[in-house]
Formats: sequence, structure tokens, C-alpha cells
Amino acid sequence: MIHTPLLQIHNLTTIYPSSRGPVRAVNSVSLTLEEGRVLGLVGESGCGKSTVLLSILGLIRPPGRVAEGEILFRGVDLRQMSQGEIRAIRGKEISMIFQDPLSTLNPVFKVGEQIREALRLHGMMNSGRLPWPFDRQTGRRERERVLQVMAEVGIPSPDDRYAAYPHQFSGGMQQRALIAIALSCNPALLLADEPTTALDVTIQAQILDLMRRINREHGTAIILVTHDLGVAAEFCDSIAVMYAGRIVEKGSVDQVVENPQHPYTRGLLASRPRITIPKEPIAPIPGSVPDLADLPAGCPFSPRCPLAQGVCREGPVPLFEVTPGHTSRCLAHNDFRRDYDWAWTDRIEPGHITDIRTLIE
Amino acid sequence: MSEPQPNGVPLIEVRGIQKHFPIPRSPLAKLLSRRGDSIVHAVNGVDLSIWPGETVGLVGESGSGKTTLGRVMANLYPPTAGEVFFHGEPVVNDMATVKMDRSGQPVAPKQVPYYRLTQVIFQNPYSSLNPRKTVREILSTPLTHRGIRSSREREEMVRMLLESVGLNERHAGSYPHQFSGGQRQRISIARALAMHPRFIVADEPVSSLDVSVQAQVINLLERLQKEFSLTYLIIAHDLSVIYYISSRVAVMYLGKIVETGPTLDLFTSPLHPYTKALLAAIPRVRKERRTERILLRGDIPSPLNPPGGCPFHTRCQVKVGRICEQQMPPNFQVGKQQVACWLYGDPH
Ligand SMILES: Nc1ncnc2c1ncn2[C@@H]1O[C@H](COP(=O)(O)OP(=O)(O)OP(=O)(O)O)[C@@H](O)[C@H]1O
Ligand SMILES: Nc1ncnc2c1ncn2[C@@H]1O[C@H](COP(=O)(O)OP(=O)(O)O)[C@@H](O)[C@H]1O
Ligand code: SF4
Ligand code: SF4
Ligand SMILES: [Mg+2]
Ligand SMILES: [Mg+2]
Repeated sequence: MIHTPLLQIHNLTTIYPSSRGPVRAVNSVSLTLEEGRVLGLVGESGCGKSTVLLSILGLIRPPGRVAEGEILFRGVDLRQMSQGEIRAIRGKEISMIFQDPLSTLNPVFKVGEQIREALRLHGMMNSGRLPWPFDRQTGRRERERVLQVMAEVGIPSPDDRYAAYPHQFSGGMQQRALIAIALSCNPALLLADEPTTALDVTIQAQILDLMRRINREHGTAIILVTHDLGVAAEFCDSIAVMYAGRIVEKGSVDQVVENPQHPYTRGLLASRPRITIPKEPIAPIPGSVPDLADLPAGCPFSPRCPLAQGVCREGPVPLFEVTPGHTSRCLAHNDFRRDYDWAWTDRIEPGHITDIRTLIE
Repeated sequence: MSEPQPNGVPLIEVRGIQKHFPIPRSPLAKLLSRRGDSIVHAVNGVDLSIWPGETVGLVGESGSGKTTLGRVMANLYPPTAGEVFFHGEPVVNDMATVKMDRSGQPVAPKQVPYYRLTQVIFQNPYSSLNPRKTVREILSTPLTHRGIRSSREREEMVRMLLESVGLNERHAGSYPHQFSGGQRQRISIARALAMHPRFIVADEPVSSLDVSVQAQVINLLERLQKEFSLTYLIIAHDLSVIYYISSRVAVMYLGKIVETGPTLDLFTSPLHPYTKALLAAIPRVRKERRTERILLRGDIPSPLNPPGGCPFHTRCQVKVGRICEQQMPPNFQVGKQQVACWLYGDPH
């Protein structure tokens, strides 16, 4: 039997028209995700991470459009499906947690009712009876089920909170409610768009812990979008780093974090303050993220790259396989003299945060 | 950053600061509950000293009162209770008594408006700059306040300010929306510098910026501190930023400072159970470090109705006993750290 990964994306290109010309928010992106695995999509704001997730679900709003590529879910191309078919998959097999919890929860409905609605929609409440409030028995059973789900995602005293409205929840609890809704269909794939960015570190740790438990206990595969390499490293099996709509480096967490290859990945790691003894200086990446409607020719990172040479500004840069499974889109791996100058990032030891607890002991 | 010893007279000191915000209730609600307005206890009894040349990092969860405390220290909010001291003298009617020059040499005491000594860099570089003014106008206003009347001189100073934050003269005629987030934060910093202050409160100066640009701004703040002999209170929720930038750290929880200490001591041997939980929550990049960790349960309680006794007792996993719920722990000195927790003191 031929092995079919859960999700395979080939050359996905998504374009938003703009007054300054078309924005290739996602530019020929390819990704593979196996059942039950966790992939981190990392990069700074505006590099196309959310657009990748929205493209998978067919949620790009016109005039934006998926211009090219295949999105194979269990071997079947989602792009070839009818709206009805894709809606069925969206509800049952693939779920998404959006970047801003308050904008996704409906402000005028009680949180408990919204979770109940999601469970009903996904047939998790099948009882064959008249829906609540016509049948008290079912009503009670459904409520029990909702409370159980709320408890599972760690909403404290669910009984009291069932009837609360979204604005009465803290950011962390809103995010939990969304996770409860996203999980109500027991999906094979969960797309999580910066689920912790708006939250405090302690709440972030709780939410990541919850998602990890779901991954382990239900075998749910996850794509986690984040701009924090620390979060990605802690949570994911593999990482794809995006810059200006392209994936510039991809590999297992160990490959990408312990042995970063692309100058952008190295720059991201070098610009992140680290908790080390003694303190190490940080090295900013000069400049800022380019305008996607007005990209430089050749490598989009070239205006900021300390290694850039003339060839970098000429044509598209191919992907190089550095070691099996570890790829990087940079000419330095092939075209440059071997002794090119990595000095600016050389002081970066593999591993970037010293564990505080080992310091304590 | 530099590691000056906290000794001598603090540049800024606050004692017993409380800041309460009344939340107006409808007359009907008042009648029904027979109570008045509810009150947010945003800052609820804080003592903090900052010595010249220090960078104090203020950390804590969202809603713990960091911004409010920073604004009280910069005299943007009058405190509900407590006092602000500059060079050891109380700030009265917005006037401070300056007793030392920037290098710490005593000078004849002089009354100076407090706003000339302290400046704030706000949490959000998008809303804190007037969109209808050019950069030149934004920077000239504080210069005029300082009494620089000649426009030639102001123009020259605008140029120098822009250069010191890594921009240049070409940018002077542009409006804030024409800049990126990182550049706008540079403009906010230049505006704060224009007043030539001694003390700067920077409220989340990098949290709205991209990671790669954060490092540029952090390095800029560090360089300017040396160049202009500045003292900083830096508010941030990112603990790696705090670790990197601060010489001393204060940890805030529900309107109270629960622990302070030199950065290295506090990060290597956190004392307060909340500080420990906060540090344990930092995501770790390195493989062998990515282990299971103790998680803090639940959310921060509402400052509308803070729990009695130790503010952390509703989430604390190592409570010493009933006293935690009944009595607010005072500050205990442990080594170079100060910690408000009954684990470190004899309750009687
Ligand atoms: N002007 C105000 N009126 C009423 N309540 C306020 C006001 N300013 C702040 N608060 C409340 O005081 C508490 C502390 O707020 P503050 O902004 O100081 O927190 P913070 O620690 O800076 O949080 P963050 O990390 O989210 O910026 C919060 O509960 C907040 O809602
Ligand atoms: N609905 C939209 N219409 C037009 N442009 C968009 C839209 N959504 C995103 N973009 C643009 O596409 C690019 C990538 O955006 P996004 O996928 O949101 O990035 P990220 O999630 O990595 O921050 C950005 O340049 C952004 O401005
Ligand atoms: S291709 Fe050239 S410009 Fe692009 S990242 Fe590599 S060295 Fe830098
Ligand atoms: S005083 Fe008691 S409740 Fe508060 S932190 Fe210490 S041990 Fe925990
Ligand atoms: Mg996004
Ligand atoms: Mg704040």
C-alpha cells in the first residue's frame, strides 16, 4: 500500500490584489504533515502564515484567491471539492482556532450554548429525540456533555460559567472555549493560528499544555502558527520558517533550532534575548519585513541579509537539502565560497535558553 | 545593561502607592445592592525605589497594575494614596527638588517641574503619536516646553534626536502613519528624549514589534541610557526581554509587588511562589529543557474584588496555612531579594 500523509500541500500560491499590485501572500509553499504530528509555522507578521491556514480551509475571501497548487487531505485535493464537500470536511475533520478569540465567539450568546451548538452541529449529541427545550431529559444530558467538555479544556467551575457571555471570560478562558468548540468534532487536524499570542506566559503555558494533551490523547494532528520560535520549539515535532510568503527553512525541531541554516532563521534566533549566564548580546536583523507588493528581485531576504552577494539579487532561490529532511532556501549553501562569513551569528550556541531550573539547583 | 548598586539616595521612590478606579454603577444597581460604585484596585499598596542609572524591569500578568504603577511614577495619574519622592524629597504640586546632577554630584537644590524629569514611552506606538503632526512638530513641542525658542536651534536638535534614534533629517517632514512599527517606536523614544529627562518609564516598548525589530529597539534603549545618563523603569511581559535589559526586577501581582531583587538573583533563585511559576512558564528552545513543568492553575482574580490576605493565595500551591488568607505578608529581606510571602518570615 502506498503511504498517504494526512495533509500534503504542493506549490500553494495565494494572491490578494492590492492597489500597488498583486500580493503573493503565499508563494509556492509545500508542506507535509503526518497523522498525529505537530508542525510549527513560524515567521514575523505579514509573512503569510494565516493565509496558509485559510487557504487549506478554503476560507480566502475574494478578491483574494488560491491561484495555484494542490492541498491533499488524506490524498484528496480539497481544491477540487465542491463547497458542500469542503464544508463537511471543515466541520468534521479539520478545525481551526482563529487568531483573535473575541472576534470568533458570538458576543450575544452564552458560551455554554455556543459549545452545545457546536456539539449538536457535529452530531456529538445524537439522541434521536426532539431537541431541547422540548425534551427535558435530552436537555439535561446535553448540558452534562457540555459541562464535561468545558471541564476537559480546563474552564474552572463550568456549572457557573455555562451561562456566562464571552466578554465575561478572560482571554485565556475565551481561548479555552474556542478550543472546546474546535474540538467538538474530534478533528483529525487542528489548525491553530497564534492561539497564545494575546495571552500571558502563564496562561500561554496552560493552553499549550492543553493542546499537547489533546494531541496525545486523541491523536489530533496540529499546525501551530506562531511568531515565537521558543513556543514552536517547545511544542512541535517539525518547524517551517516563512519569510515573505515562502518557506525558507524546514526540518525537525532539532534540525531547525539546534542547527539553523537559513540566515533568516539564524537572525530570528540571534535577535531573541536569551536567558543565559552570563548575558549574551543580541544581534538584530537590520531593516524590516519587506512590502509583499514590492518584493526585491531574487532572494526576498537579500536587503537584510549580511551574507547577500550579487547572485542573490538575480533569480529565484532554489531549496537545498542540507541533511535528509532539512531544507533551506539560500544560495550560500551551494553557490558561495565555502569560507563565507557566518561570523555575525557564530556565537549562537545551539540551544538558546538556559533552563532556569537547572540554574536553581 | 549597566549594573549600578542600589545605594545612596534613590532617584525616584514611591511609598504606599494605591491607585483605585471607581467603576460607576447605574443608580438602579446602587439602589438594589445598597452599595456605591465598585472599585478597581489597580495598584494596592506599592513601595518601590529606583536608583540613578538603574534599569528596573516590572513584570506581571495582564491586569496586574504595571501600566497604572508606571503612570503614577511618571506623575500622569495622581495616586489615591501614597507619595512620590525625587532625590529623597516629596514631589509636591508637580514640582520636584533636584539635588544632584546627572553624574551624581551634589548641586544646589533646585525646584523643577516633575514632567521635565520623567517621560513615558507608551505601550502602543500606533495610538500614542498624533497622526496629524509631522515628526518635526512632534519633536519640537517638548523642545518648546524646555524653553528653546530659536527655531534654528530646535531644527538642529530635531536632527540630532532623529540621528540618535537611528533615523535622519529626511524623516522630519513625514507623518506617523508613513512609518513602520519599529520606526514609530523610535519616534516615541526621540520624543521622550527631547525633554532631556532623567527618568523614563517605557511601557511594553517592544511587545508590538516583530521579533527582528525588537532587538533593534532594545539595543537602542541600552545605548541611549549610557549616552544620556538615563534611569529606566521598563514594563514588559516577556521575561527574556526583562532578563536581558534589567539590572533589577520587580514582580507584580494583583496590584502588589510580591518580589524584587537583582536580575540574576531573582532569575536563578526566585523566592515567591508566583515568581517561580512565572519563570517556569517560559518556553524553552533547547531540546533537553523541553520537559514537563509545574503549571499555574486558574486565572488572576479580579482586581474589582481582590482576595484578602496574600493576593496569590487563591492560586498558590504551597500555602503555609490560614495566615495566607488572613494577613497580607510584609516584605521579608532574603539575601539581596525582598519577598512578600509568609514562607520567608515568622508570622508572629
Ligand atoms: N482608567 C481606568 N479605569 C478603570 N480601570 C482601570 C483603568 N486603568 C486601568 N484599570 C484597571 O486596573 C487594572 C490594572 O491595569 P493596568 O493597565 O495597570 O494593568 P497592566 O499590568 O499594565 O496590564 P497589561 O499587561 O494588560 O498592560 C486592570 O484591571 C484594569 O482594567
Ligand atoms: N484579506 C486580505 N486582503 C488583502 N491582503 C491581505 C489579506 N489578508 C492578508 N493580506 C496580506 O497578505 C500578507 C500575509 O498576511 P497573513 O497571512 O495575515 O500573514 P501572517 O499571518 O503571517 O501575519 C500580508 O502582506 C497581508 O497584508
Ligand atoms: S540567498 Fe543570499 S540573500 Fe538570500 S538568504 Fe541566502 S545569502 Fe542571504
Ligand atoms: S504568603 Fe502564602 S499564599 Fe502567599 S505566596 Fe506565600 S505561601 Fe503562597
Ligand atoms: Mg496572522
Ligand atoms: Mg499595561
